[in-house]
Amino acid sequence: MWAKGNVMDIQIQHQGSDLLISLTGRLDANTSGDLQNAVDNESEYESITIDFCSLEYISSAGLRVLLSIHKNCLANNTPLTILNCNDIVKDVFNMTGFSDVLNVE
Amino acid sequence: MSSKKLTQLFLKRLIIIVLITLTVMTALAWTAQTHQSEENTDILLNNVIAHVFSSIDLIEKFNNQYELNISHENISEYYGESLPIVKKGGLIIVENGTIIGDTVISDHLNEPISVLNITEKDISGDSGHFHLRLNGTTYQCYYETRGGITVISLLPNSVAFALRNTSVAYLFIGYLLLFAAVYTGIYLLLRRFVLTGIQNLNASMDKITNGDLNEKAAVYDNYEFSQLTDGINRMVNALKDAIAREAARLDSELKYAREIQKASLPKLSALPEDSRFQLSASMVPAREVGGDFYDFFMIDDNTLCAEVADVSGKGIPAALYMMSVKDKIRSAILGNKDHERAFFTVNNDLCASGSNMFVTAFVSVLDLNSGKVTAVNAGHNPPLIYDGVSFEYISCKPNFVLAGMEQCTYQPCDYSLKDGGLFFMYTDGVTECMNKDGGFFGETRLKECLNNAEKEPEKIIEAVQNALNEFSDGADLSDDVTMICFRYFSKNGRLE
Repeated sequence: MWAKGNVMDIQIQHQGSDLLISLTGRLDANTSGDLQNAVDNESEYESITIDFCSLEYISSAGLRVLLSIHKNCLANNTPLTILNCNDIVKDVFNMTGFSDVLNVE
Repeated sequence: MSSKKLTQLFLKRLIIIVLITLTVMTALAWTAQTHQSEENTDILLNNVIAHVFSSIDLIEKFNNQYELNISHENISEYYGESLPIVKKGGLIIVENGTIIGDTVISDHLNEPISVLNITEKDISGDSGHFHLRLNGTTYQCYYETRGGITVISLLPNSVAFALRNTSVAYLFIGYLLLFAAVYTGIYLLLRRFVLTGIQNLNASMDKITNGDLNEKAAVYDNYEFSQLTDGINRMVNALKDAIAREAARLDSELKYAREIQKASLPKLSALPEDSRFQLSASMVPAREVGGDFYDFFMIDDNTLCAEVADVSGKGIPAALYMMSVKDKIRSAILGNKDHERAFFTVNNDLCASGSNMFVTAFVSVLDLNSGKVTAVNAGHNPPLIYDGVSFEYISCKPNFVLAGMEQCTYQPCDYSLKDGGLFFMYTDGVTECMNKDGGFFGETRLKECLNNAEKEPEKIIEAVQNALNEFSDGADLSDDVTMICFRYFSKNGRLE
């Protein structure tokens, strides 16, 4: 049986002053806390790039964490970029208006 | 926490105890055997001396000639083969402190006994025992003096203590084997009676710690383990009872909460009897309480407002938040003819409350005189509209979700319902309803289902609900499922 997705892999790299976060799996209620913690534990970056190329799905809990990261970035003047969304994630961003708020490339 | 294993600790100490015991026992045996050997040697040497004195001829010869060439050969001649051990020892015959016969080192005839490291004091009595160290060899010596002649009989330690050394060596090996056997035996007993029990109990404890409260510890090998096992099982049962009590308490509270949430949703009876519209709505929470809601109310006699919304998250926090959001949206819409303004206000209001949640909502306002629908989409799933032919998804550019960011603006979209036209709104619990393989119900199935259903709000919601039940086939709801549908009848259409 296909697991209801409590699996997400987070890879964090510092590329110069940019914090590159690559996500694999599902960003949902089970995994969104991990992303928040991962970002909270990092420091010394001037911009954040989140690579969604291997992200299959995002739920409202995932959106909430993205929004929280976005708000922090706004408060600190840190550019936040989201890369390589698949169609499912793009649909969610379009439907919820996140594509107008976040910098999605 | 110590990472040392019980076996390591125990066996390390056991081996120390065993080695100490072995040393002590060997030392005791050594002492006893030494004592015994000395006594045996004395008896033997004494016998030799007695034999020498009993050989009168020899003594007289000593007396007459004052010299004696005594050697191993002629000693043997006198003693025969009955005392073969004497071959390895020797005799020294002394008169007035001068050596007059010697089988040990024969170069010292007529020299004083001091050349053989023997002092006058060593042989001052009638008879006695002393040690002699000569040319690197230690001898056990026994002497006897009769008529001015002293006969010293001696035997090297290597001969005197040969038996002792052999027997203690055998004893040592014997002890070593015995203790090795005891050591192994104790280790096996320890493993059999203690370690296996501890390992089994630990395995049970691991399962329990990982949440399997139905695991039963079952180590009844002995009284102590039985007690420990019973203790663990009693503790787990007590935990289970406590959890069950707590769950029951929470259950009853959640039941109340569910009732309260249900009661907070509007009832159809609250709408006036009006032939210009039909409406139906349903909300099935994934848990006892949910974060979805629908709302409908009359803005004035000719304007119906219907909305559906989804608070991010589930359960109690979402439910609490949902209650306040619903009231805020309703009062903002009732207070502002301008929907754009109403949403701008309510969004800023929600953002200011500082909650970490956000809400997606779709609000439709139906003008009952014209069939015109003014809709605001705050990041919500696109509704479907029925124009008399088929249901189609409407495109209304989504605005940002509510409570997400301050100062967001919300652009309305306008639609027009024909006579008998339907408007269907839902939350993502419908399209993202999962089957057992993790597949989503999806927008295509929803549209098909709507098109196949009888075109009445109540029948439509029933049809979707049935389709979802069939699709999920008993799988748990992953999200709240909420739908609201209304149908418009133009006065003219109805009259015709």
